[in-house]
Amino acid sequence: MLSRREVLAAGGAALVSGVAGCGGSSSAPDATFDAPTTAWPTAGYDPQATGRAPDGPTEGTVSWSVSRSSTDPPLYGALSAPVVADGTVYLAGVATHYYRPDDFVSPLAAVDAASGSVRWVEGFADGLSGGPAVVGGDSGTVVIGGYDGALHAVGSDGASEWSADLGGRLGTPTAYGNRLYVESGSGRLHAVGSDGSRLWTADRPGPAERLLGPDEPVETTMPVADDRGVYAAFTPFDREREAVVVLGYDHGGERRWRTVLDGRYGRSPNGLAVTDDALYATVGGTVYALDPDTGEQRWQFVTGSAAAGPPTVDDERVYVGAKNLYALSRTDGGERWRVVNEAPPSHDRDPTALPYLARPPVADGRVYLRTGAVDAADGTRLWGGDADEWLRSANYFAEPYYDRPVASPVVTGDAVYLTHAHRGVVKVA
Amino acid sequence: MTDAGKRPTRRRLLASLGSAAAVGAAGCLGTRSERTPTSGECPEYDPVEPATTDWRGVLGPATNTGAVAAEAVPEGDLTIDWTVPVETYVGHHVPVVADDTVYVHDMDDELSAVDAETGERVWTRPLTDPEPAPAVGDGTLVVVTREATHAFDAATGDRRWKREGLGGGIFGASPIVAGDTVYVQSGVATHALARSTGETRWRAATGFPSDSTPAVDGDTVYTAGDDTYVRALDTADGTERWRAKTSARIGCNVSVVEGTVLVGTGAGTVLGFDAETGEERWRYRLEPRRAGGERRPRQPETIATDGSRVYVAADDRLVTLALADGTRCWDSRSYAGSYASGIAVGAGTVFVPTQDDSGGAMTVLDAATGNTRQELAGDERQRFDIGPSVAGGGVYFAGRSAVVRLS
Repeated sequence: MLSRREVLAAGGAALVSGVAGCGGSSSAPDATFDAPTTAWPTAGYDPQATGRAPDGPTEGTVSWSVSRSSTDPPLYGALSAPVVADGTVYLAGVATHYYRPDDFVSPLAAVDAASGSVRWVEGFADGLSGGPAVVGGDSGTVVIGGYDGALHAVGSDGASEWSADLGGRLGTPTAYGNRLYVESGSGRLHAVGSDGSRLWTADRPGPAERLLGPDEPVETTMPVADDRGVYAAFTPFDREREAVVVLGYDHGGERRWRTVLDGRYGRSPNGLAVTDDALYATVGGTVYALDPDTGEQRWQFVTGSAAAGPPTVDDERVYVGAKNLYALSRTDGGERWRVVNEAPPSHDRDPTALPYLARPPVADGRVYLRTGAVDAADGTRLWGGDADEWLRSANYFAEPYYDRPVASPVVTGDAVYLTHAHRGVVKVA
Repeated sequence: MTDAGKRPTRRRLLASLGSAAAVGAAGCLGTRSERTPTSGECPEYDPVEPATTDWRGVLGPATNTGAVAAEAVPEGDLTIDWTVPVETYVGHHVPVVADDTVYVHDMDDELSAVDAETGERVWTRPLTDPEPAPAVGDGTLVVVTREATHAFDAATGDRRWKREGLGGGIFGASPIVAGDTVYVQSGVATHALARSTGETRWRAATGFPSDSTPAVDGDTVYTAGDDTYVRALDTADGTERWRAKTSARIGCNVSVVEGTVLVGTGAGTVLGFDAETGEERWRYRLEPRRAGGERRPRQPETIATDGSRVYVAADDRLVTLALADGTRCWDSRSYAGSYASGIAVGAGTVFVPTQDDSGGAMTVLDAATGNTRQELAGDERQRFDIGPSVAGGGVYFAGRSAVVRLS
């Protein structure tokens, strides 16, 4: 029997699809990204999610931190990576199987980047299911998706601006010019204007009968976009089905290509990043490079980990945090260097206990890892380390973070901001 | 006190009866020892005679070939010489043999040395949670337990040293003793320890655990593991000479012979690399197995080689390839591996654990053709699922609360 939510979601989707069919614009929206040095506006920094900023700090110690229990509502849930815009750090506490969405109030918090004072925390009773994105430049609208399929827009003062009922558990949105792209757990890619208007919905990639399947049939990741279009990846939860489906669309929602990748050691779509000549996709513990025009596979790199995080990319290398941090050649996927993560295998011999996993920001020849950085050319430590006392000394309850990063950093020109599974939000400058 | 001395006649009788029954059963069910003939491209069988007559590690020599000199291999049909009870509710691992002594633990709380000729216990000592197979070299016996690596005087059982924190698991890599160094895969690194003191000579971390027993040849140790790479490390300081990327975790041992390094990956691929350069010489894709309507890669568990053939135990198969180019030569579909099964080869003969109705039989195969020379069934007292080890004219197995010698 369908739940009310499923019926609503299905109805809503049909309506939106109809709109798209009638005349969704296929022209590319204006999307100049000015590469700010004072902001990290979306999880992947830019629409391509390269995770590459023009500048970042050259050293740092902990400047301030906001503990998870110090706010109301508290910063519980799986903490998203932060985004930074207009002098404010935003982060969300995502509902998980441990912080169940039906009895957990997800926080969305705004913290003053300079002082660390908490500006506001909004609670979402239905549970948030992805991290925040800031859209619209100075207006500073923070957009975040919920388990109930609602995409919420909140002003820089914490007041609700609009909400769009898209249906399905929503992932982390990305901003492309004045629009947002977000995937839903029902297997759809949505294009939404920064004013909350629905532009188009691309239908689920799998068989239609999956509409009648489980409530949350699909694993998602954050879409990425460039001037050619938008890229998405979905994995049906049903293990008998295909592995990860990666899709390329134009900005009007027309599918350009579709590729199925069979990730070794896991099929979760853990992240995308696109450049002029390649779309990089992490699937389970494997990194792929695809042709962004055809979806054709160029190379793959099996890390051996059960999971690897979203890739970042500079002119020469792709950086991926799995158990270890890897730098791979963009040309052939060959390993250029690694930072060995010395965390011991857990009792069940799974090597993913306290792995890196986070998207590793890259800026001006440095790759940022937890509270420190390594040289992008050879992986040597510039500062910080896994043995940093403040990072390690905490009464970890590892299970909820099993397949999530312990610490997720982003950078601006002069600081690292990170969320930490135990320490909350931290500024290193 | 020796069990062999008390009841030899009865055991020999049972063993020979069991053998006869197994042969009969095999005759009825032709699939038991079915072999797949080659397409005819398999090069001539021309093995290299190794010098070793002991079985010092889980797969014999430090090169992990599972191969021994012809003089170490018993001729003709095997019968049980003696059986020594090693009572345990946990399990056994592969016995190792050196200087006419067999070393075995009970995976629980005891480590024993047994006289290879008589089956008499030489010494027994308590040891908590021994896990993979021991290794022995130059009078030092090395055992990895859940929490530590231990070294004992092989002659007396007296403790030489102990390294806390360098533990292993039942499915994990076994230690290797080569020259004056002990190699242990523990945590997320390969550890080279001084054989005499246990001090760390060097440590090479990949960030991943390894269940793959490393192989040592000359001044190079070859390693693999969940990291997916095969690496050649300088035994002196751990410096990486080369590394080769594969597409999956490597759980089976590394083996090296005649300048070729052999591994099998979790993707069901067997690979041969040039030991000097790391260049891939050939690869062979094992036929996937069908499970629940899906085709899954066959998992290589053990690799052995006699310098002419490569023997790969993968789930329910023994697949034999030509060392020179990876051409498939023959298969045996009666292979029945457990958590600690191996392959032994010598004098043109291959010894493997196989299955029968009682569970835990063993089979002797002709290395050149794959033809079955002998099958010996297990019974309620003795199984042959842990092993084999071949040394000094005897074949050793463990299983079902006992260690047995055949010749």
